[in-house]
Formats: sequence, structure tokens, C-alpha cells
Amino acid sequence: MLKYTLKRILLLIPTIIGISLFIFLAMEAASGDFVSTLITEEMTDEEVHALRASYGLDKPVLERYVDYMWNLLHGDLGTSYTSRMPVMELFMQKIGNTTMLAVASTIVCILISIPLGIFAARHRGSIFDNISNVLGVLGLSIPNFWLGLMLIVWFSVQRSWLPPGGNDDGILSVILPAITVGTGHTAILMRTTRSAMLDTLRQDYLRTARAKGVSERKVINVHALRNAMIPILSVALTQFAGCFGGAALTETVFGWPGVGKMVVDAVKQRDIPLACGTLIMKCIIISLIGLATDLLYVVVDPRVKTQFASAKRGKRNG
Amino acid sequence: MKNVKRTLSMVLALILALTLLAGCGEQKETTPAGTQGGNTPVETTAEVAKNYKKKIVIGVANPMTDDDPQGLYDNMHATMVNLSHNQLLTYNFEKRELEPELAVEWKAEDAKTYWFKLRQGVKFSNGEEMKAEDVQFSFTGREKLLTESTQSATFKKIESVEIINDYEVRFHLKTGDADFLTRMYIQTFAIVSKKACEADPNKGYYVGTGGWKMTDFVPSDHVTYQRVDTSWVWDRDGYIKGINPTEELELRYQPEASTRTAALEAKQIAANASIDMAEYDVVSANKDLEITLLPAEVLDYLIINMNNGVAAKDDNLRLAIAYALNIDEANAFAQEGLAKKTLTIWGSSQYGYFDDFENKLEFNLDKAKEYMSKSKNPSGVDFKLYVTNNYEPMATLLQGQLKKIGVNVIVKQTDKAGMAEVVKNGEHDGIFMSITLQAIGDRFHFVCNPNSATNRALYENPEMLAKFDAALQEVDDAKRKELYKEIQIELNEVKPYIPFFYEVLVVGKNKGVEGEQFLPDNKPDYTYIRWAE
Amino acid sequence: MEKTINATAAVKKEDPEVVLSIKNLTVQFKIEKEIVEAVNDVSIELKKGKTLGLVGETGAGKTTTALAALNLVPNPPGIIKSGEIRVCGKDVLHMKKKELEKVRGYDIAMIFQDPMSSLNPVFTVGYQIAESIRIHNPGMKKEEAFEKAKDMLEVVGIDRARANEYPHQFSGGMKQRVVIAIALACDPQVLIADEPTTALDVTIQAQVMDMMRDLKEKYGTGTIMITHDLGIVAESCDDVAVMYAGRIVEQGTLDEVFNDTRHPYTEGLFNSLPNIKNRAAKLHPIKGLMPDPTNLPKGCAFAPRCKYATDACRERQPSTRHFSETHIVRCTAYDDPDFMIERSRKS
Repeated sequence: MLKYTLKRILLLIPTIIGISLFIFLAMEAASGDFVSTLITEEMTDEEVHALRASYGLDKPVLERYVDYMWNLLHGDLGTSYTSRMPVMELFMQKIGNTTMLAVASTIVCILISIPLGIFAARHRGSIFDNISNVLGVLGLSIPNFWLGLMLIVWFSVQRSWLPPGGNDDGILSVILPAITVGTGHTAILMRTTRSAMLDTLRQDYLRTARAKGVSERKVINVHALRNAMIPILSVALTQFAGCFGGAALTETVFGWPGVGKMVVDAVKQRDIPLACGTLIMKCIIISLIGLATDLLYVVVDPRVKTQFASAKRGKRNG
Repeated sequence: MKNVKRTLSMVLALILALTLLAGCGEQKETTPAGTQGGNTPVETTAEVAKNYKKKIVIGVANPMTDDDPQGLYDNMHATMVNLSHNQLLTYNFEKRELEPELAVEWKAEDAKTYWFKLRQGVKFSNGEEMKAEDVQFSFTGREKLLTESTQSATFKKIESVEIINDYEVRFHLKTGDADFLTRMYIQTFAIVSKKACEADPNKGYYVGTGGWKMTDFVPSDHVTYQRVDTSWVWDRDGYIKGINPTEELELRYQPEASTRTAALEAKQIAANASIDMAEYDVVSANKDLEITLLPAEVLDYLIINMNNGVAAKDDNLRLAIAYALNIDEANAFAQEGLAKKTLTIWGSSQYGYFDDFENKLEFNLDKAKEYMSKSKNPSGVDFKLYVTNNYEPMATLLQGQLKKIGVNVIVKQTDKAGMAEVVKNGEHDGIFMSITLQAIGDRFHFVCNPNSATNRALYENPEMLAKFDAALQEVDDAKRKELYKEIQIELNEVKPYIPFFYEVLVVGKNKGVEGEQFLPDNKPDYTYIRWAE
Repeated sequence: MEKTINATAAVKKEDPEVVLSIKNLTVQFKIEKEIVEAVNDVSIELKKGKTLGLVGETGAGKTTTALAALNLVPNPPGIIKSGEIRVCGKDVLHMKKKELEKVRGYDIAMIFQDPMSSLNPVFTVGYQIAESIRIHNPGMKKEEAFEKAKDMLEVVGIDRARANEYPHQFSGGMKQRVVIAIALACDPQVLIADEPTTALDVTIQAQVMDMMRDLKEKYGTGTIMITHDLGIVAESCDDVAVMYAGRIVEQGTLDEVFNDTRHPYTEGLFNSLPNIKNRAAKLHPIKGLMPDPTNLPKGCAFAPRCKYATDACRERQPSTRHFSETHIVRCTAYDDPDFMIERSRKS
């Protein structure tokens, strides 16, 4: 298993190279560069050239890329053009907030999807099943942007129950953004739960359990759920990882100081080191979460666990 | 894994419980002042009996990226500098004159030489008194300002700052600059402490003479300030006297306009100086808010590509376009008809403003069609109009207006950085955008300067450029104004720019908030802001 | 040769020897507006320590009958229209849930056909056996129950050290042993084995059958052996009941049914067995197919395929006949006192 983990971590290297190269080339292809955002009416062409040179932006893109990668090898993510602070420091300032939002959103998503999915599976074909299906699709189609603003209007402006943005109030501030992001994910997770449960509820071993005298409640919540949880958790964790990549729109609407918004701002301002560095860090985090998800399978599913164990010890099946 | 459902229910219950607790918590804040000291009902002027918020948050539309007061100059950063630092002079937009700030007397001895007498007894936030050496250091002691500041052009002009005595200085410039005194109100020319900067070359510039000191700076998120009790601003003539009861100020970046408005309505922020015009109806109906329409020093105008654009060598086409534009309609559309129209690109508070033209431009569709028929493409022509996001609706409106004379407007959207590329490559036939106006006369030097990075009209006019140069050296007031008048008359004839109107800012604050200064140049001064509960 | 005894033979009501009593059981399934008549008026009695073979083709209603005994017929779509089922004297069809849970696994246990899917893949085999023990011994500690589970593993011939392994680590035959261990963990009076060896290959089949016989001797469990394999019936059963289209067409002791076969269907089953002595001979399957359970004929369900069928057979439900106290046959043909099936003529 250690070998497997190491292999996965090593895979990060080509991923990082790919992503950074893509950013550099994409920013290059976009019109304008960072200095274009700084130009004021007083400056002459020569001054603009000088300013460009001071940022190293007069060098060709591949040369800048190699410089950047060389620094990256030494653990230096570069310095942001806009704030002239090290990218790593900027990232660390905000990653905690994005993590908090990701955790909260996933909790919201799980709290809604799993009970609904289980209920829908058990009452398959009923009107409840259909309603929850519609609600799920609704959650998927409602634009985050609109939902976020509406929540602010309902809960912050019309009633002062929750703060309209920012993160001063700790857990209270995260509720509305978490709901905004979470509802988008509920459709998928609810569907997954429903089909995982339907699949599991068909299984013969539940009949064995009932024949043993296990109570119906325990049959569903222990025997069935424990099996259904495997694909459900996998999807939930994937969505959790996705929160780190996206949520930029929600972060903007709520003024949530996270890394999603930071990347969007960086791209708007053509701040290549910030955009590239942040995306690399995000990519690492997402990959690590993916790795954790796969390793989780080993813990949670005995069939996978013994695969590793027996591969290691060369044990024969009995 | 066993009791997943139970754990989840517990978490849900916990979250609900916390929400309820917090709900209780919020109510405490709105205890009326009357219950505090048991006083009789309070007059609004009797500040002693009021209860003021200790911390105020203000929502801003643009990100803070630079903590150096002498670095980046734009609305956001000027707002920041207004709190922590002062300049030699300040500009009164209503009276259109310079007024004393850290300098109490000043004189332009000639175009290259300027003398200032400094105010005495002004303390920096580190306790040191502001003296001539600090002024000298601020203008000549920091090397990075020659390259990294957006006002580097001015810094470069300074040959030396002569210290006459502790409270008198004389500036010697390399080239004449008749605008030099006016420039001194610009926030970037803040006075920093020489001692502090030498002791801490990295962050010594935090020390200023203003009423607030920056304590926390998170780029693109927020910046916080602590009150400096020893600052001279709390005892300044013409301003609210007495130490501000507010102890802590935060400027918070809230990029989404609707969220910012919601935050104002929810009383999370005290003031919002950039409310979207689209939300004017909603906020003005809210009785808990005080909304003001502020005529701003921001000009919306149409720029024509005079080099390789379709209207470049075609005077008739340009005139046709100018007459076909219904600026009243645009005003009604974008500014609720509240904006003030203008015939010249000069700012209304700008030195040398002139608009009494013989040929005043007016909306006249027949005249437009007449000029169109005389143009090089009487049957119709394509016109690539570039805009940034926020002006896209306006571009669509103009598209409709110009269609009537056969000009087919193709609207192209880009962002700020992209626009610079477009201009560089001359891809545009026209650009609709806004420009922030300044008090200095020389503001529009770039409009005919082929060397300028922001000459978006790509307009070359060596004679006009010579006039600008001459005006900059001209100390005589009347002569200078005459030069600018000539320039404006010529611009009105040639029409590389078609000015529309000065935008109206919608600014708002919560009831009980006082002391804020919403200024027309959209660089508010929150030094004196306080919020009575 | 035959005796006609009063069809309503008196059944001793409170016979303690009877561990499972099914009377007039009718089970139907309502699937999308159609009604499947799965079990029609079935009556079975199982005595302590005896093995009853329940024989029939696939779809005859054997499994449904067995599930009903544990009240495990899935409620939509299955409905128990009528009947009384008593396990050790307790009425399982009208019990409260909690009581039913106590009875299942304790008084009556069932093992199912496919061992591959009968075990929960995420719990160890030890856990799954111990679970049954703990349910029926509420005060017992986890460790104690687990020890007992290990004991059960030994009983079924599995090394007790394997209690912490997962089902997928066992082969098919071993899995079935685990299933049997679970079933017998609480020493039930009734064990229903639904085709326990069908999914296993023949050598393993023999092992498992041997083990079950040993266990029967050791524990004295009354067993219903559901199978379509007459060989297994011959090896392990004391009594036999033959089912067709949800009805019991012939029942009696092993000797009676095998050596004094009376029902044409039973005859057909025996005839379709290949003859080991004559390997070149053609096989004789029963012509035709089982009737559609949603549309059973109004007369005898076997009549369409029966070579002895008369008009009377097709008209009405067959009459019940006792050829001895235990040998019951449902066939209208025997209304004719001279009627004999070929198999009877031979013997």
C-alpha cells in the first residue's frame, strides 16, 4: 500500500507540470498582461516598457516558464504581481477559509442527500421519490449566484438572522455560502445514495439478516447502509475535492475570502505567479483528497483491503 | 461508520443550536441608547450621551493590493491613504481651490520652483513631529518610487527638495510643471516619516500623520486601522473636533455589488460609496438608509480611433456619429437621467474648464444622416466598438442609436488588461469608457501624444501637444487658461472624443452614521466616520 | 389396494412433536394488476427431528412456502391470503414484529440457495454468526458471543482462527458452511434448507450433505429440505411432499412416495431421471411447461400435461385421497377405482 501511495504522489509531478504550462500559455494567449492593468494616463510608452521589464514580462513566455519551474523546484511558488507578496503566504491566508467552506458545504450536502436518498430508495416509485428527484434537479439547475443572492436577501436583509457575507461571525457566516454550494451537489449525491441503496436493498444478505431475526431498522441502517456507504462516500469525497477547485462564484457573492475568488481575481489582473501558484496548490490538494478517497476504500471495503494484504503476503484464498 | 446517521443528526442539531444561540446574541447589539445611561432622550448634536460603535466596517468595490501609500494610485488606495496619511495640500472640489493640509502657505516662484511652509506640531503615529526632512525624504528618499509608483513621472521630475529650516522647504524641478501645486493633493504624495522608513525599510511607510494607522492588510480581502489619538486631524479647523469615538475601522472588499448593498441594508457595513445605479430605487426606498446622489468626477465618453479606425480619415462619418448619438437617452438609460451632460472632456472641477463653444453638439438625426451621406461610406459601415463589462448595456444602446444612420456597431467586450492590447494593436474603431478626472490642468496631455500608453484615440496632433507642453510651463494664470481653451475648442471641432456626461455616484450610509466624506472624485475620506447606535 | 380414508383426518392440535405446522396456506403476488397464485392451499406438518423433502420444479412455490414460515414474504407485492402457520406452537403470521424477530433465527432458521450472495461482504464471518447469537441472548457480552461463533465454525468444519476473515476469502462450499453455522447458532427447532447444494459442485455437495446429516443427528433439528433433486431426497429425507403449481400433489413417507408412487406428476419426475444402467437410452422429460401462475386452469393444474387426464380432471379441482394415514394424493383420476399409473403397474 505504501508503494501505491508513493506512486500516486509521484503522479503529481507531471500533473503540476501540465497545469503550470497550461496557465502560462493560456495567460499568454489572453490579451494584455499585468502591466496593461497598471497603465495610467501619465505614463509614456518608454515608462511602460521599463515597467514591463521590471516585472520580467518582456522575456518570452517559455523563458519565464522555465524560471518559474526552477523556482518551484526550490519550493518557491513565486511572488504575486499585484500585491508583491509571496504566493505561498497569500495562499495560506485564504486556504483555511476555503477549507471551512468546503467542509461545511459537504456536511450540508450529506445531511440533505443521504436521508433523502435512503428514503427515496425505500419508497421507490412513490410520489416522494419523484418529488425528491425534482428537487435534486432543481438544486443542480439553480445558478449558485442567484441562490446566494436570494439567501442573502431573505436571511440577512429581510430578517437579520444571518450575516450577509464575510467571515466575521464564524460558523454563522458559513451557513449561507455552504447552503449555496451544497445544494448544487445534492442532486448528484442524492442520486448516488438512492441507486446505491436500491442496489443494496436487493441483496440476498439482507434476507439472511432478516431470517436471523435482525430488526428491520438495523437491517437498513447497519447491514444495508454499511455497504451502500462505499460508493456514497466516494462521491461525497469527490465533491468535497471539487469544492476546492470551484466555488469562486459563491465566494465572490458572499465576499468569502477564499482561494477560489483569489484565482479569478488573479486571472482578471493577469497575475501569472498568483494564478499559477494557487492552481498548483489546489491541484495538489485535490489530488491528495483523491488519493485519500482511494485509500479509504481500502479501509472501508474488506474486499479491497485483503487484495492489498494478500498481494503483499501472497496468501491463497481458503 | 456504524452510527453514521446518528453522528450526522448530532451535527445538524449542533448547527441548529448554534444558530439559535447566535440569534439571541444579535439582539443584544440593538439595545437603544436610552437604556445605557438612563439619560433623557438625546439630541443628535449632544454626542456625549450617544453610544458609538467601537468598530466600523465599510464595504468597498475594488481590491486592496498595495499597502504603500506612495505606490498605487486609484480610488481604493486613495481611500486607504486618506485615513493614514496627509499630503501638503488638499483640494476643495466645490470651490475649485487648493487648501492647506500639512503645508499652511505655499508659492509658485516660477514653473520649476515651489516653496512651502509647513504646519507645526503635527505628530506622526510613532510620536515624532513632522518636519522638513520628512517632506524631503517623502519626495526624494525612496528610490523605488522612481519605478514602482504610478506617479513616478512626477517623482522623476523633482531635482531636489531644499530644506530651508525645520518648517520650510523649496522644491526644485527639472522641468517646468504648472500643475505641480495642484498635484500635491493627490494621495500618492503622502508625507511619510523619514525616521520610521529608515528604521524599517520594508514597512516604515505605515507611519503617517493621519488619524488612523494600518494594522492588518490582507490583499484582496480587507485592511484594518486603529485610531491614532495623537493625530492633528482631531483638532483641525473646518472639520469635526474631538477624538473620533470609533476605535477601529475596516475597509472590506466586497466585489459583488448586490452583496455590498445587502450588507449595507443588513447593517453589516456603515457606508457604501459604490452602489450600483440599478439598485438606486431599492435603497432609496429603505428608510434606514441615507442615500445621496453625488455628481462624480468621472467622465463617460466615446473614443474614436483616429489612426486606422473606420472613422479616422472620415470627418463626415465622425460628425454623423456625433449627431446621431442621443445622449439624453443614454443618460436616462444608464444614470436615470441624473447625470450632468458635458460638451468638453475636461472635468467640471478641472483647471481650465471651458464649454462655451460656437458649435455646440446636439442630438440631430437629420444632420447626422446628412453628414453620413457625405461620408466615404454613405450606404453604411461597420464600427467595432470595444467596452469593458459594465458598459456593455450602454454599447447595446448606442448600437441601436447608430443603426438609424446605417452605422453597424459590432460590440466587443474585453477586460481592463485586454483593452490595453486592443489599443496597442489598433483593433478598435471606437471605445466607450469612463475616465477619472483630476483637478490638474494637464490631465489630458495624453490625448494627442503619440508616445503615450493611454492615447486610446491614437490621435496625433503636434501643435496641440506643443500647447499642452507650453501650458505646463506657463505660470501666468490667464495665459494658461487661454491655451487650454484653444485645445478644447479644437477637440470639439475634430471630435476624436465625444463626451457624454459626468457619472452620478450613488452613495449610501446607515442611519446614525456621521462624519463620512463622500467626495466627487470617488475617493472618500472616512477619517471622521462614527456610528451612533 | 387403496384405502379411502375420510379426507379430514384429525390432526392432533397441540402435538409437541410438531415443530412446524402450515395449514391451508395461500400466498399471492400482486404485480402490476396481475395476480400470481404462488401457493395454493398448502398444508405441511414437520415433526421434531424429522426431515421433510419439499420437491418440485422451479416456480412450484417451494421457496415462497418456506419464506412464509418465517413471515419473510416481501410485503409488496406478496400477500398471504389465508392460512395458519405455527412454529413450535407460535402463530407467526399474526405476531408483533418484535416477537417475530425473536422467533426468527431462534426457533426457526433458514439457509438459502446461493451462498455467494447470502453473506454480507463487509462483516467478518465471525461477526455474522455472533450477531445471531447476540440477538437471541441479549445479556451476552460481545466477546462471549464471538467465542461461541468460533465454536460454531468448528462444528461446521472450519478452522476457528478464520472467524476474523471476510466472506470473499472463502470458497463456495465453505461459505455455505458458514451460512449453516449462522442458521444453527441458536439451535433452532426448525431448519429450512432451500436448495442448499444447488449452487455447489457435486463433490462439495456430498460434503455439505454429510455435514448436515451429522448435525441433524447431533442437534435433532427438524428440517425441511427444499430441492428438485430426487437423489438428495432419497439420501436425507424421512418424508416427502411434491409440489406443482403451488399445490401439494402428493405427500407421504419416503418409502410411500418413492416405492408407491401414485400421482402422475411424481411419476413423470421419476421417469425423467436418467437411467445409470442404460446410458444410451433417450431421456423422457415431462411434455409441456408449467402453467402460467397468473392464469391457472380451473381444473387440475397438471391436466394439460397429464397423459391420464380426463374431462373430469379438467373440470374441477382434484379430489384429495388418502392411501394411508400419511400418504395423501390429489388426483381426480383416482375417482375411477381401477385407475393405476404405469409405475404402479410395474411394481
